[in-house]
Amino acid sequence: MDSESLACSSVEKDLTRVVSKLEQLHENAEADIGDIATQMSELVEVLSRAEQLVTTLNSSTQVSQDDPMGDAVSMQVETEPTAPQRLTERQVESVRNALARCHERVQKLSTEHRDLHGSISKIGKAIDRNFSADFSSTMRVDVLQDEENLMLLNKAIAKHYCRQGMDDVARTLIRECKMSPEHAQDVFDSEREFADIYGIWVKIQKRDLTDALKWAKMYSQQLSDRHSLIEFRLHRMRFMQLVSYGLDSQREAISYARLNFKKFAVRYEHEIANLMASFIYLPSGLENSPYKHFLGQEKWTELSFIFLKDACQLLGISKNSALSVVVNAGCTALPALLNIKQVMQSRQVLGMWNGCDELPIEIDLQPEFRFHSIFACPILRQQTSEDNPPKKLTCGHVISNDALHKLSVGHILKCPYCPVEQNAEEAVRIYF
Amino acid sequence: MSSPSAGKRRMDNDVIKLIESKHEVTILGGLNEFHVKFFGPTETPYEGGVWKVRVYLPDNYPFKSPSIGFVNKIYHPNIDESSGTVCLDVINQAWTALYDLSNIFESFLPQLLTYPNPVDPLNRDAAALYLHEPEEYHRKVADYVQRYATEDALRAAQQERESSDSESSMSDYSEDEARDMEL
Repeated sequence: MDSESLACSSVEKDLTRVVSKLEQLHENAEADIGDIATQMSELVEVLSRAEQLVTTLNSSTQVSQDDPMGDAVSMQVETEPTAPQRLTERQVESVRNALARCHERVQKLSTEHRDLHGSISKIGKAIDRNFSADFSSTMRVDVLQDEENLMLLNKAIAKHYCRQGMDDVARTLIRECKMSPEHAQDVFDSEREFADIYGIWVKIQKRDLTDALKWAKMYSQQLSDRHSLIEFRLHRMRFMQLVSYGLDSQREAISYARLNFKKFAVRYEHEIANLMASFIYLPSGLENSPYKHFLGQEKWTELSFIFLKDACQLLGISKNSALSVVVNAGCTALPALLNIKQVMQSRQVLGMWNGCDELPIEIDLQPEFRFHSIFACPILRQQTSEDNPPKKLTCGHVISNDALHKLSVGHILKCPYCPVEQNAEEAVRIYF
Repeated sequence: MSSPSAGKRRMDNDVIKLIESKHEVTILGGLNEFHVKFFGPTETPYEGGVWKVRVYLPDNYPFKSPSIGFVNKIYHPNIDESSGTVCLDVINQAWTALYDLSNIFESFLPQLLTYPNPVDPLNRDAAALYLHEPEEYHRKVADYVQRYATEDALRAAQQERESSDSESSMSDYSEDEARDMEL
């Protein structure tokens, strides 16, 4: 974590420097371009005045045609120089100076801009230095050569889009990767159940328990078998909602309690008694009572997440999309894998890496990434299996069967954890 | 009955884990034989010394303890002066299959250098000195550190060896960076 934030701050520092240079250049350019625009305007004025002068001269010539010596004057006009040469020396100097100044400014901007290229490429170097661009050592590129695997990946992505409510995007993906109809059907079928639960979840957060209560009633037996709290929690919240409406709803609240709390009387006796006492506070309002925490939004949010968890659990649905779980776990694991990138380049290790279904290092994932109970033998450092089951020693410590046999000398086993010596055959298999 | 590859996988994982724990590891032929840079523990006469420690993992690892030896000279009752081998009994008593290799360099060796066991010596002279003339023992240890266990001495020995064989360093850390690491 330290090295990562250090890397980020290092790149950020260089980036900040370049951004401030760009801002400076932008200000300078703005000022310079303003100057150039002003000079161009002045130049236009000068040329405009010159043009008027030429027009005046032409007009004079026209008038002079009426003179007795008309022919001679007309001949003279034909041989006169072109208009630009009629500009005064001062005007020519103005034009020349304006152009020179513009050129100078543009040249300066160009130089400053070119200098920035060096700074910008420094950003690239800083990123290369602080971050890894090559993840090939942590990848199994061959995995996606398999059409079946590629299909599974597309399916996971499509399901993720459905989770985000982007069904049209999922459909486009399915069409473009030519997913078979049965797989496509599976995507929408499996996500439809979650969509229903998600809809109820949203409504709970909006303090509407109608659908949630209906759902809980439908699955009441299964929820009870799992010792789920959600059904009672929903009824409790609905009851308190009615009480919070004031004296006008008192009768309705009492009826609700009588109808719905009966089945919970044994398990939640004390809590129900506490809830019924809330009527005492009706005249002065729940806002000034020990029950005021039921009025806050956090209570509803908490309830919605309990519902989401229990509902997904009961229906066997993952709360998060498979893709988001995998990506999040991967982001956690990636720094550790890059950390031993050097080792991956060793031939022996690379061979092992490709051949096994386990990582060569431990990666600490948070509890939310743990879905199954497993036991890893502390001696062999690998997960136990049917072929190599966990064994509990008489002293209570657990190791794998293979390790047990390796550690035994005849029938005598000395526990690796504690001094207890014992008969190896007395170890018993355990199940997780 | 047992899987023949189980210990091998454990061995590979342990070496990788040792490298990951930022010890400077140099792999020799296979993953079962390597050198590790080891720094003398503080508040001992070995402080300031740096040694290259050779580790050999037997086929029966982790059920049999690894073999450990100091490549450059060290003066210690339980370490053979000529070969640098650490006393087998001492290792065997301390070793358990639960150990990581990093335990060797973070617990076992620092403890061994800090608290020698003169009752079962490999270096009898060192053991006698330790027991009867502790001040002289300290001076001699410090002298050996100065002569054989400095970065310069290590580099010199490295250059001699490189002319005869080759080895690859799996560590990202240069010697200067390694010096800054905390034990």
